[in-house]
Amino acid sequence: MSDNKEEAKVGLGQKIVFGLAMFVASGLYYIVFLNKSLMVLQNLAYPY
Amino acid sequence: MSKFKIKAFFAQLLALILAAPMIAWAGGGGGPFDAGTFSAIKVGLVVFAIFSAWLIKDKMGLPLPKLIQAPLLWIICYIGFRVILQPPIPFSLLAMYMGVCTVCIFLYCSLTRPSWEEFSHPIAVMLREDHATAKMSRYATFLIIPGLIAAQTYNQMLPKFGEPIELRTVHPAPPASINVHKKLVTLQTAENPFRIGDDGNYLKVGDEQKYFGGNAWTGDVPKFLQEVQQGGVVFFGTAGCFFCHGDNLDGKGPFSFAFNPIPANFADPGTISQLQETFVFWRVAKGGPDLSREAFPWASAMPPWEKHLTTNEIWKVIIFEYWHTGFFPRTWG
Amino acid sequence: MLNLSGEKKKKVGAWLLLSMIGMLVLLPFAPAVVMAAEEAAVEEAKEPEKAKDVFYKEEGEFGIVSGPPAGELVYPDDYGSYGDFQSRTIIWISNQQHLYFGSFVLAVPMFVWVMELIGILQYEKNPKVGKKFDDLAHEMMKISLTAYSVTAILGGILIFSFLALYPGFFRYLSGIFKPVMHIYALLFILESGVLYVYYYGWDSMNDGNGDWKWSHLSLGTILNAVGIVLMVMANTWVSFMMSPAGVDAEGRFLGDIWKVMHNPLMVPVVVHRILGNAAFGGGVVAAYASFKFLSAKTLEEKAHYDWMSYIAMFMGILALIPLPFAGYWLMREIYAYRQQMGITLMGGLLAWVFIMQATMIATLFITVNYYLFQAMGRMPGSERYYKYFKVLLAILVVATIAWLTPHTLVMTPAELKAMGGAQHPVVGNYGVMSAKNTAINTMITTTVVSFIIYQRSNFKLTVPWAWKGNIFLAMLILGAEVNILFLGVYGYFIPANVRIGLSVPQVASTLSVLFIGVAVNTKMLKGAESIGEIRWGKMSVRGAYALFMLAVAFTWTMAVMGYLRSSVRLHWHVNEILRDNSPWAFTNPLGYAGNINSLNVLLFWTMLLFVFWLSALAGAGKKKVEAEEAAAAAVGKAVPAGSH
Repeated sequence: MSDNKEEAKVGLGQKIVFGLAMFVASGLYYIVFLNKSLMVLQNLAYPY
Repeated sequence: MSKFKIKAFFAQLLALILAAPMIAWAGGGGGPFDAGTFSAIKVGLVVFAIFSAWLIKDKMGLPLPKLIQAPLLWIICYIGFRVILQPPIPFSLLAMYMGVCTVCIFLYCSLTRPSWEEFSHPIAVMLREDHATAKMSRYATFLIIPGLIAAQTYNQMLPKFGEPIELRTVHPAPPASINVHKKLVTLQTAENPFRIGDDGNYLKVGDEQKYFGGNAWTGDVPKFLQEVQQGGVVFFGTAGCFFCHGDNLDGKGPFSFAFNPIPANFADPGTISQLQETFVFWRVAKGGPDLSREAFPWASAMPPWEKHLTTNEIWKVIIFEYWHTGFFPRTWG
Repeated sequence: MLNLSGEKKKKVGAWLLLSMIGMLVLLPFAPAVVMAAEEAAVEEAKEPEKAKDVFYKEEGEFGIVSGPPAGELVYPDDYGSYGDFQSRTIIWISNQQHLYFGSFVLAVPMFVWVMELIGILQYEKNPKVGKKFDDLAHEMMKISLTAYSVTAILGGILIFSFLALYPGFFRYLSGIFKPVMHIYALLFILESGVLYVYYYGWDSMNDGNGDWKWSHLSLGTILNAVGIVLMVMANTWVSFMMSPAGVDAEGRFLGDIWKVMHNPLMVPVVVHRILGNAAFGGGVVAAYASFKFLSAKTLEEKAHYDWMSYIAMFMGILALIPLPFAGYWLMREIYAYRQQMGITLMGGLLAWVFIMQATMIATLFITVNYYLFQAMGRMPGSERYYKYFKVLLAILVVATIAWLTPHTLVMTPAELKAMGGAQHPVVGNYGVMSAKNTAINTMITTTVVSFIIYQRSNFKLTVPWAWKGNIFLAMLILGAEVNILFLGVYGYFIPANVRIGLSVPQVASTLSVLFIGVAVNTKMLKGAESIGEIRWGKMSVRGAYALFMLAVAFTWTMAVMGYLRSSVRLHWHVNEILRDNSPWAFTNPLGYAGNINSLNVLLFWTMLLFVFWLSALAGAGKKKVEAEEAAAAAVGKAVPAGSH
């Protein structure tokens, strides 16, 4: 997103790995943790 | 031929290939696909079109001036909503969509200072400069704009013979209670007596999902599906609901277009799945005549079925409708 | 002898002033004491008759009858009229205008208070910045002062309209609320007193961040507290009309005024109104600043008002974000109070008004984004982000289209037949709640993304983990959007009560982006290299117009939703207690309501522009004097410096 100098040193592969990890983490956070806990708090069913 | 020209040629070819099936499908209304797949393909096509536009514009360096882009975008939006989106949407919705598009296209042109200058500069030149091109386009503009307004006015004033639009409340507030076969039914609290699970107890809304999708008409079925079966008999036999509400409960029965308003489409996510079972019971039992004034009781062909069906038959046909469409009634728990 | 040094004098003075105001606070309770004594006397005199409350159950179900029944109002005896003109429209307009100005004078002191506090806190670090905020607060207060008298005039007009046109109804309402109404009126004395001391004492009490300044700020606290109490009191009358309590089925007052005030819808309406007022106040101050921005002649002035409009807009948006949730809660309480009322609002007679509101909300969010895009024109380095603007705008358009698609379409029978049914197989799916929640959450998320870009637009990140931060932010936003879409689609396949529950995680996803995203972004900007200072005053005029649009959209939304809240009572003055028997008890057609709402908005802005112009007039006079003095001083300093 930004053109800073530090970024140039980081390899593409490293970025992809980190990106994938973050993608999985955000998926876990939203779909598993956030949805589940908020539905449970409301006493409603949520299958995932 | 230079490399750039080849690229441009391919881009145009791509656009043509893209356009052909769109036009074909626009007429055919879906062809081999069901509505869901069809709309997914269309969304995909639109995304692909945007992608190719980006390729042509930003990657191949074939920019269009903003002043051309704006009307072009507008026309594309219009074709999209008018032709590609099938079946045709009513004018009120089209006007709403195009209103949003018009505003947003203007916003798009004025997003940043450079793009606003790019957009407004030719207009300023057209209005200000004194050379022949500017003059000619000035005259043309001052002819076209009043001409368009005149055409619009003429269109508006032209007498029309279509039936007028009725703004009818589709889901009016129900009464607190109704009297069916000399029994008082309180709509807030009443329950469907045939919503019964395998253990003979009341089946909570949502729990009936396990019966969805199966065949209710094979020999040995659970209690719930037996009720569904009997409801189906009412729907297709005793009452003949399907004549209007359709074999697929989608409001497209053979008689449906003889009526105005047309029968309710239960397969739509905005009808029975938004309503309590007791609301549906009220509508089936009392029909059009018992609608409140805001819903124009005289403008509904729904008969008061309490005069032809028993209370139990009404409850069973409701079970059948929910089961068949795969929706759940509204609850407040 | 006591030797009061300057500092001590100030302290004593401040304490004296505070204690005087403290005494004034007690004044309004005098009538309450009298009332209580009266009631006690009445109670002793005769055997009390008890009756059942319409709302309270179990504890406090029965109360002593202490008022006459509501009875049946008769037309024309209990109603006044001006010929054939709709009396209700007159009440409608005068009510709306009073409410606009009332909300304005309630909301502005809230901002002023916050601005003054920031000014004081900043004073230590940087007196210049502190003074900037202080001047801003002072200027806002100046507008509020003129608006205050307009509010009082409009309040008078409203009362006279009630007395002239709805005497029967007003007799009943004032019979129940008479102690509250008197306390209300007396509180106004206090409010005006505090307001005048607060405004006129601004300069003389200004000692940077010293004791006087803090006492001045506490005056502001009292001003706000009294303002909110006033608003809550007036609000109880309105919520009593919607959901009466503390009276029996015939409308007889049962002796406990607190039960009448604390009726079922009172608290949610109050919360919704305070938040709405704050958002509206921010919008109007932003409009004022843009008005001054557009008319400014020097770059310095332009810079000042550009900055002011940004601050005001920001405050307005802060109040706007929790507003939908307060509205959601109010709607839930309405459903819980009377399901019929809820259906009339959301699915029945008044459902179309919600489409109007939807249009306004979409306008609000698109405008905020557009303003942020324009505002980035004054940030050097923002050119890097120009290419993302159109993507964000495109997302907003798609969300708006889904957001606006109604479930019940307006169409001719011919169009209906061409469509093959009452619902469209594709866009018909956007007509239900799942799609609406998805759309609005997408719009808010997009706005947050715009804000994140705005924050970093004139900085170059220098933290070593910037690339990680960027990827984290991208995934946070992407994940939220995916989750919002997923929950939206999932909502079509489950029962309605679970579907409604899904809106909570949807909103939580949006808020995650808002809080985590902005926090991480701010952290990333720590020590970032500035590409250039913000060039205040260099925003395009389109940004200023966008803020004007924002403020007008706020006022229009208020008009529409106020109409909605009031007309949901249908043919009742006081729901299920006092029936409206005048010829104007019907619900107006949509077109008429839209026209009257637009008229209200127009009227309000006309008056407001007058108020703005007035404050500019005072400023112009002052400047002229200053200029003359400066000129005089320049002429060889021959003139002695009068009072200075």
